[in-house]
Amino acid sequence: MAIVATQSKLGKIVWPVLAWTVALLFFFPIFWMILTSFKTDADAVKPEFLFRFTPTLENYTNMTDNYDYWRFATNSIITSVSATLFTLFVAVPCAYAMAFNPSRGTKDILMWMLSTKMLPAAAVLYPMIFLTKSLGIYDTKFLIVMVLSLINLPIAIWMLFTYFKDIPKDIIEAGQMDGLTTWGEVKEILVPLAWGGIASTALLIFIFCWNEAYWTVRLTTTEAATLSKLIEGNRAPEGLFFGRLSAVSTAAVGPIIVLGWFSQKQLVQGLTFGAVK
Amino acid sequence: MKMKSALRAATAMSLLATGVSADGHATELTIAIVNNGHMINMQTVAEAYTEETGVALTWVSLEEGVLREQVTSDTATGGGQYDVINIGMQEAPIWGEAGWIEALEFGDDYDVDDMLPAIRNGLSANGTLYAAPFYGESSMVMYRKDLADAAGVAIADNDSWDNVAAAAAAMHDPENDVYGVCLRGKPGWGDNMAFVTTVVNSFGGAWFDADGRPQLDSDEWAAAINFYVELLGTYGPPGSEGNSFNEILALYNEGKCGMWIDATIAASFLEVDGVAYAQSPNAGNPVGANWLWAWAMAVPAGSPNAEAANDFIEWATSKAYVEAVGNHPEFGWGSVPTGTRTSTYAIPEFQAAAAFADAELAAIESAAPEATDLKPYVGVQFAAIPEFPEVGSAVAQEIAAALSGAKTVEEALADGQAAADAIMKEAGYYE
Amino acid sequence: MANRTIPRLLQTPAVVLLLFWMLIPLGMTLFFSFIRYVLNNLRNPHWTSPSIENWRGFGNYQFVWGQDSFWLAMKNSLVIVTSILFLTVILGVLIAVLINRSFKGRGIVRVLLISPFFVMPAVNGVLWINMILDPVLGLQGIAVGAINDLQNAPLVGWFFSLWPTLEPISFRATQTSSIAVIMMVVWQWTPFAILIFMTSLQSEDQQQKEAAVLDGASTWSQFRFLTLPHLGRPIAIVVMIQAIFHLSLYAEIEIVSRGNGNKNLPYYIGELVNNNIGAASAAGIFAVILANIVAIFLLRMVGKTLME
Repeated sequence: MAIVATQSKLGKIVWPVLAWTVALLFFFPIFWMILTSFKTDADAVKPEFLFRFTPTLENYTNMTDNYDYWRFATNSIITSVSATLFTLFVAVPCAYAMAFNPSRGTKDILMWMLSTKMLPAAAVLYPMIFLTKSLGIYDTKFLIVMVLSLINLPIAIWMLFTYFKDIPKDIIEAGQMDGLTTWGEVKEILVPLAWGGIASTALLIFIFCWNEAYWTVRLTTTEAATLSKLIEGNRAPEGLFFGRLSAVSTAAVGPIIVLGWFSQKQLVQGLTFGAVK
Repeated sequence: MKMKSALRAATAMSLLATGVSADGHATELTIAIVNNGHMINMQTVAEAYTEETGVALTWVSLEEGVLREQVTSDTATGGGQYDVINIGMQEAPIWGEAGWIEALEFGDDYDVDDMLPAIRNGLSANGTLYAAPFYGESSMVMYRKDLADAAGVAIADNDSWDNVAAAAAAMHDPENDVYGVCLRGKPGWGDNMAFVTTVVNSFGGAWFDADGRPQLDSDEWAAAINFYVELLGTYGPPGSEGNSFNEILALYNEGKCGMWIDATIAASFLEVDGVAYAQSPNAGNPVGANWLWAWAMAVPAGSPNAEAANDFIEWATSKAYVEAVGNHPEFGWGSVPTGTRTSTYAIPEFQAAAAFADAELAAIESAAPEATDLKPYVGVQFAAIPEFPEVGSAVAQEIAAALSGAKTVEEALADGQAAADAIMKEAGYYE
Repeated sequence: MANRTIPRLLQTPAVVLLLFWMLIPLGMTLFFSFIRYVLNNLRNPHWTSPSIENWRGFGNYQFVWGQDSFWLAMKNSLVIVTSILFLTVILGVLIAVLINRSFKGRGIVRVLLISPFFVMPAVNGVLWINMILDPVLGLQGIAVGAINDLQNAPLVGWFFSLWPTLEPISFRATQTSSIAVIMMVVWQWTPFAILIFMTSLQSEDQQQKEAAVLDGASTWSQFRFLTLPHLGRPIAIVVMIQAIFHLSLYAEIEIVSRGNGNKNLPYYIGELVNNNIGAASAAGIFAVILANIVAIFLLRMVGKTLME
């Protein structure tokens, strides 16, 4: 008994310290990036200015003045929000039908949907360019919204399906007895009950949309170019500009990290993929 | 500025909401540029052009590889996305011949004959100019005079490789974070292979024979690569297989390199005191030991604003542009794009601001991109054939593997030869 | 019958959209894979338009099959994905268990831990390979230099002189570049694993656990016999989702070393796409086959639990 007591006393110190150490290690690269973004390019590679340096906003002003940051950021917001909404709009009814009226084929359809996500994008690059150009939608926000929605649709349907599946069927049946229409079921029963799952799906999809960097770089020129494209334009300029690079990177990932922080509880609750029983 | 972008953001939002597309009254040119200092400066200098002509300019700046990929995919599928594109000397003649880019026509004021002949030839196909040089470069030796003097060595113009290696050994002082020589090692046909090819050239080797058969199994290649791996492996900084222009520039400016053989343009970025220049080393071969490259501007076939694009290029590569940069309050004569026109080197303000001017001009003028018996293709550090990027990147990875010791030089060259051979066969050069 | 119509109707938009997305581009890729199609070829200009007249049969497939770099890419694809899965699952379980108890600042610890998951892949690559791993200018170089300098330090210098001088490791080299990629992706995706495992641990049967503690079960056996089995399903989920994402890894490969030593299938295809579209398409079809094999394998694993 005595041993157990000392163990837990020790545990009270050791575990939190360990947890904090791991957390700080994981966060360090991001911290480093933010710190470097306030250094001049020359200072950024000098060991003597590792932590003590004169902070400057020069990298950020350069970014907004010369690289049109706001245009890219606006496009990122517009396309990611629209794509997330559209994905949900298509995925919620589909997942609902699959969860509450499963047929023998449901599982196969679901699996097939997921397998579309494994297609290597590079293999269909030229077909996509030909198609979108001939339809006249190359470099439009519409196209980016569609592409982002399509690549995330399988994940969204799967997440929602697993979430809906855990909602007791009786509740829905009770609703049907009360004479609710399908739409009524969705609105009155499903959405309130599955709100957590829908919200965390939306968050995850939004993150994936924001960070997508294959199609958003290759199917855009100016009109629909997002922050991923800004990064591509800055990642290897002449001279190795750690400061400038860090500022652009911080500005590109900053919004999503902050969003992630605020919504992490929500994210944790919904990210079950049916794994939690 | 902030107000403007906020306004633009707001308009963009409202446009999306109503589905109305922007209807510009004036001509608007979309220009794809590689994200280099000179090009970025051009965005500022060109504000005057917009003011004067009313032509609005939209810039898309991208990393070199991504730019190539985008411009290629757009042009190959009929174009239409860009009005002006940045292309290099490797692509210009090929794309011109394939009809991907328009022939350029300039007025008399432009003085086409002022263009450096080597550069002009490299950007033409069958005597027609398809791309106008924005800036040009060759390669040369840049070294720390102070370190060389302290070590009691000197590097002469077109010195022998043995002397260069000896100088690197003398300046090498890793204890104090000074490495004898910094050279490109990062795989890429425009990265390590640019330098490596000049070494191979100087040893008398070439990429292909007249039939297009790769020559990597030749003695010249073996000698050149062994020398390169030995030199950089012994006296280079750690991680050389990841270094290209950007990385080495940062290293050099940190005072960590005794010597650097790279693009002449680097000289205008060097911030370390006591830089001296020498023409590239040679092992006595007539092909020469220095490369020739230009970032040029071209009008892709399919541009809806071809005429306006042609006019813009005429302005951006003119004598007047050089002066505009030189007299610009933000830039000055040290930042003018060089390596394109003879007249630039005659400007006294430029001579005063650029100590490297003479060395650069001499290097460019001595570069020989023409096809010869020894090197039966156009281009110095590349071959102006469509398959070269593919061959070049495959071999580049093998050379990098040899440099980092993952393969021996012999293995790397044999594998490189096999890969190149397969690509050239596939392209129908021979059975 | 009417009972079946509405659910079908609800599924239709998603199914149709995905069908279009899959069939049309993939159909074109399949067509390209059987013809000679290059973007530029001065000797055979007729190859530059995608036309049925350039039919090549299985020629593109033979070319790809015969290339060493194709097999290297295949191998790398599998090695990189498997290593990432292995490491993220182990780290994810350990860290999730570690923070699944109450202590001061647990909320902040969580926030810090999941942050890497929100970082863009390109930013991730640039950040790690330049600012952290660079052997001279990055933190690694600076740290190694500082440790080596200790040999000359007063008082303690003699102690450090006993050790050999450290050599910084170049993570862009052929031998190490896939390690760099694995490292940065593990950094980014371990938080995802932590998130899922954490959620799952919260539903662990606490009564069972307390009973085990009373029975005198050690921390280890609690972990081994209660926690780990409980995490079986979430582990399957994490493996599945990550496999889907990492089979198409691209940006990190490009940024670290341009495929030198770490070339995977998508990157190999990306290299071919610069000129030889026919061969790239054939390689793409191979990649689709590989993806489907992996998918079947994974779905077997996860699929069963899915419909319960």
